[in-house]
Amino acid sequence: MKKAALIQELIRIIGPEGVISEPEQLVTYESDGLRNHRVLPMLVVLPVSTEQVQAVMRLCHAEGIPVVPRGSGTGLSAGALPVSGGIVLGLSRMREILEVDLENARARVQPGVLNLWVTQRVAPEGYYFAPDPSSQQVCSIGGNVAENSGGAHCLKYGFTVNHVLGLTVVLADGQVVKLGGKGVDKPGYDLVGVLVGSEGTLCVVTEVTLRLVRKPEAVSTLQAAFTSPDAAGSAVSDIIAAGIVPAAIEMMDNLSIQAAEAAVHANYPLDAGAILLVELDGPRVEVAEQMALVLDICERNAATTIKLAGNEDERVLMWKGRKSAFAAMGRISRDYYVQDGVIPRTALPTVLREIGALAECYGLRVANVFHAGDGNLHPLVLFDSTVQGQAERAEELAGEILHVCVDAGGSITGEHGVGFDKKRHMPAMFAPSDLDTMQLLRCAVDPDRTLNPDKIFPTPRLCGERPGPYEPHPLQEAGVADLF
Amino acid sequence: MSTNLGSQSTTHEGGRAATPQDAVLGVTPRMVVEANSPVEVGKVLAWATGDGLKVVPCGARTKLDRGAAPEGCDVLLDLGKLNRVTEHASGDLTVTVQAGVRLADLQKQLAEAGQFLAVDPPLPGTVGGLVATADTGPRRLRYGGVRDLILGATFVRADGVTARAGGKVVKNVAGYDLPKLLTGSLGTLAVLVEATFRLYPLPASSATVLVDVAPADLRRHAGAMLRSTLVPTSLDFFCDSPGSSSLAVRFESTDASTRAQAETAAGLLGGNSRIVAGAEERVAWARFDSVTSSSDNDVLARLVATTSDLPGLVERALRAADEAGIQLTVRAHAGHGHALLRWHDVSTEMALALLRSLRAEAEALGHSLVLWRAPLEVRGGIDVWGSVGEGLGLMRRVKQQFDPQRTLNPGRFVGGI
Repeated sequence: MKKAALIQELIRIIGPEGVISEPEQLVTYESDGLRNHRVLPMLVVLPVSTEQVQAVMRLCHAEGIPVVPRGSGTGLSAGALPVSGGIVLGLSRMREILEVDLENARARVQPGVLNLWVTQRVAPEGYYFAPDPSSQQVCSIGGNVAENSGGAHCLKYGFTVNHVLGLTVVLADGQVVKLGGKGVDKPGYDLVGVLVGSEGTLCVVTEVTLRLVRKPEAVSTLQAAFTSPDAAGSAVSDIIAAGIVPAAIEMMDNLSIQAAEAAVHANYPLDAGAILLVELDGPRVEVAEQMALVLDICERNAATTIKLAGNEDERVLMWKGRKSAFAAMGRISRDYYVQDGVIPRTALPTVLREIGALAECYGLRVANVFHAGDGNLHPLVLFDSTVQGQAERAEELAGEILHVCVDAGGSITGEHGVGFDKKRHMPAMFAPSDLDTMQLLRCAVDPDRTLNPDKIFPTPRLCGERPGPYEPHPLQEAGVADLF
Repeated sequence: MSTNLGSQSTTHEGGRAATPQDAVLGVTPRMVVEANSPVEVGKVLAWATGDGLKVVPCGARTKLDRGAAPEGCDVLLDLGKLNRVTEHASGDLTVTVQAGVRLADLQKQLAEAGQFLAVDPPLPGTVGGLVATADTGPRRLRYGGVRDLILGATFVRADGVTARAGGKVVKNVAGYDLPKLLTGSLGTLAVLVEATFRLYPLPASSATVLVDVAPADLRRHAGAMLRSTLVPTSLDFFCDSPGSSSLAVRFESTDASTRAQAETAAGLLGGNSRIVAGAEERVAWARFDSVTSSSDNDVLARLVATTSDLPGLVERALRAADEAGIQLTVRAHAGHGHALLRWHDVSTEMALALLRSLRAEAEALGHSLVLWRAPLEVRGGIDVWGSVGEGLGLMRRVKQQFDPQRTLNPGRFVGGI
């Protein structure tokens, strides 16, 4: 089908206001939040219903046109990077909260609904939606589902996947399937569980059933400064060892503190080697008792200052510095590159030293913002793109940091997704047979690779392939003790 | 030692001939192979698939009667010897454990570090069985299901290839989350050899509020607990004879918070509510646990619904049993919409009538009734899984990719998968 005919057909399906074909408008969609990867799509379509999504998928599948689903475009892994000659399927016009069912603590929403809207809608009744990525004011539920987004409160409340019970999906060939629902554990495979986090490579989500969480009786937030990240890390270890599961524990190193302070004046101590934000929530008596323990632990670990938020304003201010940490880097560096590695939390001191050594080796500065409870490290590699070669060096350093995380037993991504940006690092974490096995799922659902074809996997699997002869897994050859 | 597999003259080292005690829902395997290592699991599966044999994996054999009877069983693959706790990273609140480890043994070891795997399934066996069935118990209310706790898995595909997915850290979104796909797949996609789970600290103290609640009042009372800011770890309804039913609300936290929450809950629930702890609390919960201690002529099924619809379905099931003169024991996890129902000493005809009518009511509301345990004659008259909904076609496509020759547990899962 010629492009003009295709446009006409898409306009017939969606209407002229939902089809973008002018190059100057297409530029808006050439990248997501990670702007160093850019591809101009052939067309962008903005459907408003499951039926329209279905019709678009049928058409594209029949014509062999690749489709890249997109939410708010805030992703940081180039997961919504367009494919040249392909279509971007934007879901930002599907933004209705379809149903709120408080008795079952569920909400049914369209994918374009912004994360924060869900909480805003149910807050008056004392409920909220737990996953809270830092971008929650602008990121969409559909994007959260695609990336299995996290946030600062994952340690206690889990990720998007723990809060999604049902999905309506459109498959690559246009088939619409309803999976799961308001209840838990319908008979059959947990397809909802594996579609969440599949980064738009398996289906287009057009409706999501979410779990809502009762607002806790009490919330208490503490900010403690330490002379070094090691001392702060030791306090975190003691808090975990005391049997406390904080709602959040965040750590920022000195460089991040400097940047955040310059940007939002959160009253962070500028001379601290690291600060911890510890938030406890739950029944009032439990929070009070455990916060007393946390205070004691911070003191025993030689905290230089300890502040307890006395009211909601003080709590918000403490968080403001942390939530704006990425953007704040602009205050101390022309450009920065955010990384999303995960390490076993206890490996923090060694990993930070290795990152420090690498940074020195590359002659670049690295600021560290860390979800200390769950081991999710966000090193921010600072660079100046006007200096020849520095952007490339920064990207290389960021890649090296991921390998340090994997070597420590961690992961290349904790919440941003693999996308286009990190697929080259997948072999550091997974053997060829692992990646091949994951793609069996892709072969089952989208064998023609119509949806987001060039993401996650460094080498696509041809779905007609016959399984090869038995070969031991590389980890098995290394000795069974190291399996996993 | 080699065992000859009859006319097919395929053999496998270390296997033994099966006996009637090894039967899986009436299907006697031809041989039993105990795997000594993950590598051996790979060899057995490559051999089995190559020769067109059917394999049923097993661990402690506590849930071998789950699902439909397998279409065939040449090899009962026993994973009980994969019983090593590979790594307990207590500081990171994770554990990596082989599939054959008994849940009870694992919990004992974790308790030494003041931690636990936050599952309390009704028929505890091995870690492999836990993942295969995704069974959960009362504490799911607070800690989520097996799918919410599993972080990574190493498994062997039907063609003998070993693979892993997920990771060893709490937070990780690299690649497809196959551990979730395997959770609850009843061993039909791959054989799990090792899994990593997130752990929780053992709470310092526990207390339970008990109150008599009629089935008709369950929705109101459970709702009062769920709408409050209390954080119960379990919210269970139990009834084992008409006119005698109760609600148990458990709190597990610090000493002071446990006490304070229990007192608040008792006030909200009113009636004859009383707070029990220690030995008295253990006895109360042991009574609830008795729902699964079924004998040969009993029928055990699990109802899966929303929290709002569950009480009504339970009430109707109790009334129907009462009218039929059948004793029905119900344990309902009222906070997350699951219930176990045991009809005592029930004839085949009556069991089928009761199951069919309850299933029809549940499915009309979009919910499910899955048969767990029943005499073979009852199983013959009803699909143990019931309707699966729109996802079945997709599930079949997944099975086709992972196990195209249908080596693993053929016919046991939903829709004959």
